[in-house]
Amino acid sequence: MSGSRRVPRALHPIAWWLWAAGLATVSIRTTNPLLLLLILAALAFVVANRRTEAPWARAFGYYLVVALSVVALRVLVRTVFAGALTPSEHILVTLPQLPVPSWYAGIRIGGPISLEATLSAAYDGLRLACLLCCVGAANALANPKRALRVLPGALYELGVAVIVAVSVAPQLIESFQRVRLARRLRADPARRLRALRPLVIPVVEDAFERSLRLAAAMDCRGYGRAGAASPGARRVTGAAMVAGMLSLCAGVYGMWDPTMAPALGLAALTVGSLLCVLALVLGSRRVMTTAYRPDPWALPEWAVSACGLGAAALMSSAYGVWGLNPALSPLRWPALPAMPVLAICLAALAGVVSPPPPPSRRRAARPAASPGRSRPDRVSETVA
Amino acid sequence: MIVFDQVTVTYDGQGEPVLRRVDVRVAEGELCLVVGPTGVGKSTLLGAVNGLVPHFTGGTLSGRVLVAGRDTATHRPRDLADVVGVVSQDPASGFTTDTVEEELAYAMEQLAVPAAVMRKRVEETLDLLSLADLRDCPLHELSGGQQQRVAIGSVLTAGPSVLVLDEPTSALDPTAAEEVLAALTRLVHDLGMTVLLAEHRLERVVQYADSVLEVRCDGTVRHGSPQSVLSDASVAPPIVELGRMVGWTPVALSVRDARRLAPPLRARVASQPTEPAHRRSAVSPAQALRARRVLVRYGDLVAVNEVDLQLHAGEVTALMGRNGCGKSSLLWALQGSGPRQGGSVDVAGLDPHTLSRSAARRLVGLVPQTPGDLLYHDTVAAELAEADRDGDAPEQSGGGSAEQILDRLAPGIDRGVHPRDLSEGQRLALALAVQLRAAPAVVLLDEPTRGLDYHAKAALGHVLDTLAAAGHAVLISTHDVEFAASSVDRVVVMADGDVVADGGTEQILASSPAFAPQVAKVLAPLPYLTVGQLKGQLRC
Amino acid sequence: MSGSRPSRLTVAGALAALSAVTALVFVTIGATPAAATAEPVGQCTTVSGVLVAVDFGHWGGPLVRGCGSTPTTGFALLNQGGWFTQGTLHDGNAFICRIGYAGFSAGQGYPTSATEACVQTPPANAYWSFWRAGPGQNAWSYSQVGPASDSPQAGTVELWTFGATDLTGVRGLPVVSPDAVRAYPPVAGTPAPTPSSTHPTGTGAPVSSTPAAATRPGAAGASPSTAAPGQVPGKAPGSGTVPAGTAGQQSAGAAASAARAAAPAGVVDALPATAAAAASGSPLPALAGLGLVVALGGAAGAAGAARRRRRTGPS
Repeated sequence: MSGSRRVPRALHPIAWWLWAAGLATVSIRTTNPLLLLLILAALAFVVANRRTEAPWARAFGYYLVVALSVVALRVLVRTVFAGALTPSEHILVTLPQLPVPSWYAGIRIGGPISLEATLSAAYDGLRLACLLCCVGAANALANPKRALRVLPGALYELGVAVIVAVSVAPQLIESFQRVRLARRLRADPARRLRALRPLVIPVVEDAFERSLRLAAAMDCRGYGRAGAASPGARRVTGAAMVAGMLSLCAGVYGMWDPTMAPALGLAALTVGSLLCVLALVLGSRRVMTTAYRPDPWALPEWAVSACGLGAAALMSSAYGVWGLNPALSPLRWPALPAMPVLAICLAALAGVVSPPPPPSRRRAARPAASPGRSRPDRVSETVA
Repeated sequence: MIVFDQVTVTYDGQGEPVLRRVDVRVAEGELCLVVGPTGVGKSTLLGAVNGLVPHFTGGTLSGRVLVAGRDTATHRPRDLADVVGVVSQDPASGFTTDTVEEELAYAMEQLAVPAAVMRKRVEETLDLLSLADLRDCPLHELSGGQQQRVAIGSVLTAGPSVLVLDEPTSALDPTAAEEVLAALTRLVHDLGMTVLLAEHRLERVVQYADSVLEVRCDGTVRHGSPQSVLSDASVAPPIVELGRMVGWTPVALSVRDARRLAPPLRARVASQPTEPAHRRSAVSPAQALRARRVLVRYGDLVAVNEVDLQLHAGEVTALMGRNGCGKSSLLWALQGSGPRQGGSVDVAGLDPHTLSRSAARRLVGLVPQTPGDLLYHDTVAAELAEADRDGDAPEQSGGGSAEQILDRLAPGIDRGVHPRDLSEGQRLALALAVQLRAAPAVVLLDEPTRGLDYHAKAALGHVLDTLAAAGHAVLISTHDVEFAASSVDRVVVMADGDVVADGGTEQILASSPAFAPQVAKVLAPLPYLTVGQLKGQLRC
Repeated sequence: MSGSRPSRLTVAGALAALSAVTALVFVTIGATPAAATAEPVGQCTTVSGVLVAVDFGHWGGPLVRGCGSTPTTGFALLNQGGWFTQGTLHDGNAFICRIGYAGFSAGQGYPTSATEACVQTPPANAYWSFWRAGPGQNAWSYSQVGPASDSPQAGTVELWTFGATDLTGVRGLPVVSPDAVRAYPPVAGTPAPTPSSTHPTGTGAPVSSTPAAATRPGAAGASPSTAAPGQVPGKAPGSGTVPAGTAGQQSAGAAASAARAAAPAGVVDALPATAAAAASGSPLPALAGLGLVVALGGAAGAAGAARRRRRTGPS
C-alpha cells in the first residue's frame, strides 16, 4: 500500500479543492501575521512539490503577485487616507496634509502615517491575500477542466461552456499576437484609438469563426444527444434550480447577518439545499454521458482532504485562543499560538502525503504566435 | 452506404442552388475523391452526408440523403455521430480537450459508451494511427500532421462506417500528408471504411481513389471511376493532364502506371532540347536583397541558423522545406518586422529592421500566411481606400492605385463584398494588392498556395510573372512542388534552419526524389518538370 | 519662435512654485490641531470645554464622563487623560470599536475581546453610537460625521452609547439627557431613564435635572481652576471619584428601564489619568514563527530549483 502511494499520478481535483478550502477556512479565522505567512509558506511548499508542468499549473506565481498587490494597495489607501491617530501610536513619517472642503469632511488626505495603521492594513490585506492564494493553489494543483468534469449531470452543459470559455482565452491571445504581428506590415497607425480597430476586428472575427467550427465539430461528435426528458420536465428542473439557488443565497445571508434570527437563515438554507438537490437529480436523468478513465478516489485523496479539513477542524477548536487576532493598540509582538501552527503544519503535510505529480514530456517549443505557427485561414467551410 | 437521391441544396439569400439534382450512390468500402474548383460546393456536398447541411448551416435541402439507412432529414449530426465521422481542414479548432488520449475518448463519452469499451477502443486507435507515444501530449504541442491524425482518431473511436474529410492535407507538408494518407488507406483497406475525401492537391491522392465525384460549376455532380471522370474533368492533376495530352486511354493515375506507359514518350522527346519550365523574363543581375548570416532564435530554439540569401530583381524564387524548418521566420526577418538576433539584411543600401514601418514596407512587402490578418474593413472598397491612404501618391510610386493593382491581379471582384466572404485566391489577391500599393522592390509571400485549386494557382503564377516583369524580386515559400515547377526560376531548400540547396528549378527539383514533380518522376531521367514543357515539344 | 518657449517655461515654473507655496501654507495652517488637553470635569461649563460621556450601562456599569478643552475632536476627547479607544483592523482607528478608561474597571476596554474581536466592522446591533448635543440644547442628535472629523464647539456634550441604535425606532437611544450629563455635581437623584413613550428625538426628556444644572453654578465656578489633574475638586459631595458602588442609590432608575437597554448605573467623573505603559511582549514567538516560515519557504524554493534542474538537465 505504501508503494502505491508513491506511484506518480494526478489526484482527483476535488481532493485538492477540499484541501484548499480547509486552508482557506484556517486563514479566515485569524489575522495573526505569523500564522498567515505560515499559511502562504505552506501553500508554496505544496504547490512547488506537487504541481505538474502543464501551463495552467504555473498560475500560482501570478496569484502571489496579485495577493501582494492587494496588501500593498490596502496599505497605500489606509496610509494616504489616514484616519485618526491615538497619542500612543508610533509615527513613521508625516505626509503633507491636503485640505478637504467642509462638505466632504469625512475624509482626511495625508497627515502622519503610524506604524499601527500600516500594520493593521497589512494584516487585513494579508488575510485576503491568503484566501486568494488558497484559490490559486487549488487552480495550480488541480486541472480546472478535469475539475469541471465532476459536475453532476444536470450542470454538464454549464461545465462544457466553462471549459470552452477557458480554452478560448489562450486562443484569443494567440490570435491577438498573430494579428499584431501582421499589423506591422501596414503603415504606422495614425491615432491611438484608430489603431485598436485593426487589432480587434480580425481577432473577434477569428473568434467567431473558430467558435462556429468548434460547435460544428462537437455536434458531429455527438455532443448534445438528449436523453428522455420532456420539455415540461426540463422547465420544472430549471425552476427548481433557480428557486433553490435563491433560497440558498437568502439562507447564507441570514446566517451571517447577526441582526437576523439564525433560525430563519437555517430554514432558508435547508429549503434551498433540498430544492437544488431535487433539481440536480431531475436534471441528471436527461444527460447521458459516460466518463473516460474517471479520476479514482483512493487513499491519497482521503489523505489530502483529511489534511485540509483536519486543519480547518483544529482551527475551529482553537476558537478564542489568545493570539489569533493580535492587538495593535497597544502594539505588541504577535504571539504564536500552538494549535493553529499545528493545523497549518498538518495542511502542509499534504505536500508529502500526496503522490508525486506525473512526469511530463518537455520539448523546446516555439512561442505560440511566432511566424510560422499560424493557423490556416479559412472562410466558413460549411458554405463552400 | 451513402445515397444521394435527387438532392438539391439552396442556401438562404442565394437565388441559384449550390447542388442540383445530385443522384449518387457510394458503395461500402470505397475511397471516393470529391474534386471540383474552389467554391463550387464540395464542402456542401460533404456536409450533407452527415446532416451539417442543412441542420447546422441552414438552407434548404430537397431530396433525400441516406447514410447507412438513416435519413438525414430526421437525424441531426449528433444522432449520426456513430455512423459518420467528419474531419475538417483545421483540426486544432475542433479540439475540445487537452491531451491526445482525452480527445480520442471524447466522442465515445458523448455516445455513452461503457468505460471498459472506451479504454479498449482508445488503445486500438492509438495503434492504428501510430499515436501511441503521443498519448499524453498536449494537443497544442503537436505538429500539423499529428494533429490531423488525432482528429481522424477522435472520430474513429466512435466506430463510424463512413469517414468524411474536407481537405485534410492542405496545411501539411508532403511528408505529413503522406502519413495522413497512408493512415486513411489503411483504414479503407483494413477496416473497410467508406471514405469521402475532398482535396485540391489531387496528385497526392488520386492513385488511391476507388471512385471520383466531380462537382461541376453548375452544381451537378458526376460520379464514376477515376479514369472516366478525370479524363475530361475541369481540374486534373499533372499526371492526368499528361495522359490527356499524350492520348493515353485509360489515363494513368499513379506514377507507376504512367512509367509503364511512358517509354514511347520518352523516346520521342529524348532527343529534343528541353525548354525551361518557366520562361524567365529579363533577370537583371542586380541584387535586390542581400541577407548575410541571418540568425533568428526563440529562446533556446534556433529557427534560422545564419542563413545567406540573395534575391535578384525580376526573379521568382521559391523557399521550400518541411513545416517548422524556419521558412516563415526567415521571411519575417527579411521584411524587418520579425525578430532577428544576428546578421544583416541589405535592400538598396538600407536595413528594413532599422526603419519605420512605413519605410520598411516600401522596401520589402510581405503577405503573411493568413492574409485575412491584414484586412479589417467591412468591404473590399474600404480596404483599397485604406491602402491608398497608407501609400504614397500613385504618381510617385508608379504602380497605380490599389484599385488598379487589384484589377490587374484578380479582375472581377465585387467591391462591396466583405473580405472574409471572398475565396482564398481572391483574398490573397486583395492582400497582395494592399501590400503592392507601397511599391516595394522585394515581395515576399508566405505559403500563398494553401487552399488554392489548380486554376487559382495558375492565376497566381501569372501574377508572379507580372511582378517579375515589372522588376520586383519575388520570394514565395511553398510546399507545392507542382506550383514551384511551373512558376519559379530558382529554388532554395531549407531544413532545420539551414539552407541545404540553392539553385535553378530544374537542377533542384529534378534531382531530389521528395521534391520531384509528377512529370519529372514519370519522365526521369529526362529533365522535364511540367506538362507545359512537353506541350511545346509535342507540337512539332 | 524661440521667444515663446522660454516664457512658457517661466509660466510653468511660476505655477509650480506658487502651488508649492500654497501647499506649504495650507500644511502649516491645517496641521495638527492645537493640542487639546484633558481637564477635570469641573472645568467644563456651558461656555468652555466639551463634555464627553460614555454609557457603560450595557454591561451594568455607570456613565463615565470626561472633559476636554477646545479646540478638540471627538476622537481626541476619547484618547486623552486616561481614555483609550481601539478601532477595527478593517476600518482603522476612525471606527471606534472599543472604549475604555484607565480609572474604570482596571482599564478594561468595552466590549471585551471575548465578545468582539474588533477585526471586522461591528454589526449594526452591537456598536458604539455617537450622539451630540450643542451648547444650550437638551436633545441628542445622531452625529453625521465620525469622531475624528468632528470639531465640537465649547459647551457641547458628546455621548457614546452601546447597542442596536436605530434612528427611527426606540431601541438604542441614549437613556440620559444632555442636561443630566451636564449636571455638575452629578445629581444625587440619578438621571432617571427616559420613559419608552418619549419622542425619538428626545425633546421631551423629562429628566429631573435641576435647573441649576442648566448653568454651571457660578459659585462652583470658584472651583480651583488651578486644581492639578488628579486632584479632586472637593466642593461637591459625592463627586469625583465616586466608585461605581454608589450605583445602589440609583438602582431605582435602573430598574425602570428593564424593558430596554440598561441605564447606566450612576455617573462617574473621569479625572485625567495616565494610562500605564503596556508591555510590548517578547519577540521570541515572532522570531520562532518567522523561522518556521523561512523553513517552509526554503523547502518550497528547493523543490522549485530541483524541478528547474530536472527540466533543463539531461532531457
